[in-house]
Amino acid sequence: MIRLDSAHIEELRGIRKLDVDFNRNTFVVSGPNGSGKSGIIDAIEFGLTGQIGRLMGKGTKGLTVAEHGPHVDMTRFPGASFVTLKVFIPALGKSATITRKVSAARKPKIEPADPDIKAVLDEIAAHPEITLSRREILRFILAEPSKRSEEIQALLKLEAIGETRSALNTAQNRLQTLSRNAEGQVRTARDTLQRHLQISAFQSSALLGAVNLRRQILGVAAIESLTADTKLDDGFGSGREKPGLQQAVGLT
Amino acid sequence: MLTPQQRITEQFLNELGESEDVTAEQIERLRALMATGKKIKAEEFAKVFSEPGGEDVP
Repeated sequence: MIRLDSAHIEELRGIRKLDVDFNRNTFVVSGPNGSGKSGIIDAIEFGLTGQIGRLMGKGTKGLTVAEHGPHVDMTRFPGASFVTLKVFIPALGKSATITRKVSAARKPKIEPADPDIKAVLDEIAAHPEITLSRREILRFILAEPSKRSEEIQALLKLEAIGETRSALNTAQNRLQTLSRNAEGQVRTARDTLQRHLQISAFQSSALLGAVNLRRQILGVAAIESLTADTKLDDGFGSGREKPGLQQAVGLT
Repeated sequence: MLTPQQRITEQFLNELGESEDVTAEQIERLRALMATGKKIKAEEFAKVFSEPGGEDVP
């Protein structure tokens, strides 16, 4: 768990500049409509995770932290939009200051540069379900039963898993089509080779026998075994054929 | 502590590894692909599972 000491918010969402002291207590934010109450929550979430939940998920297509995180008058200056949180981590008995800019949302400045403190903050950033906002909780509660699984997925930020599954399904369909086409081509090639060599079964022994018979007639060394790399015309055009054959096929 | 995404990915790869149709090399290539954190295209997955040409005659 992390306790908030204070927050300094500049040019983020609807807030130009604000300092709030939490003194590690549970707090309530109250104010008139549009006064920036949700902005404080957005700032805390952004400071801890680099994300703003209200700009993600269903119905937020096209919204990004980079573009819609800064105050509307500072959208061209995302570097001026930042949050500084002073926190206390009871489990470590340590305090830290996290400064995160909209222009570098994934690279917060953490002081002191303590690996234990960084590990705690990395864990929070990687587990969005730890920092649920009221809005996200309400959305889940109010979701239709048939949509609850989708809402859980959104809460846990598992959209990437859904996208990966979709890509795997597409890959599977494409590979199945390619496989069917390749099987057809193999069947055709085998039938053609079988017909030309006049063999009844497509077995290596029968195939080698037919090929080597012809190679012997043409005076070329026999092929010992068949592998995926074997070339049935290996040795032709190398000058090792019988002289008469070379003349017959115009090689000399 | 693994993220939910990492846990799901690891379980998926472990179950896939139990299949006889998937080689250890393919599992490792998938693991590397899914560890990038980037959106993976279907073509990249298809490439992992595409067999090299040339099958031995029985």
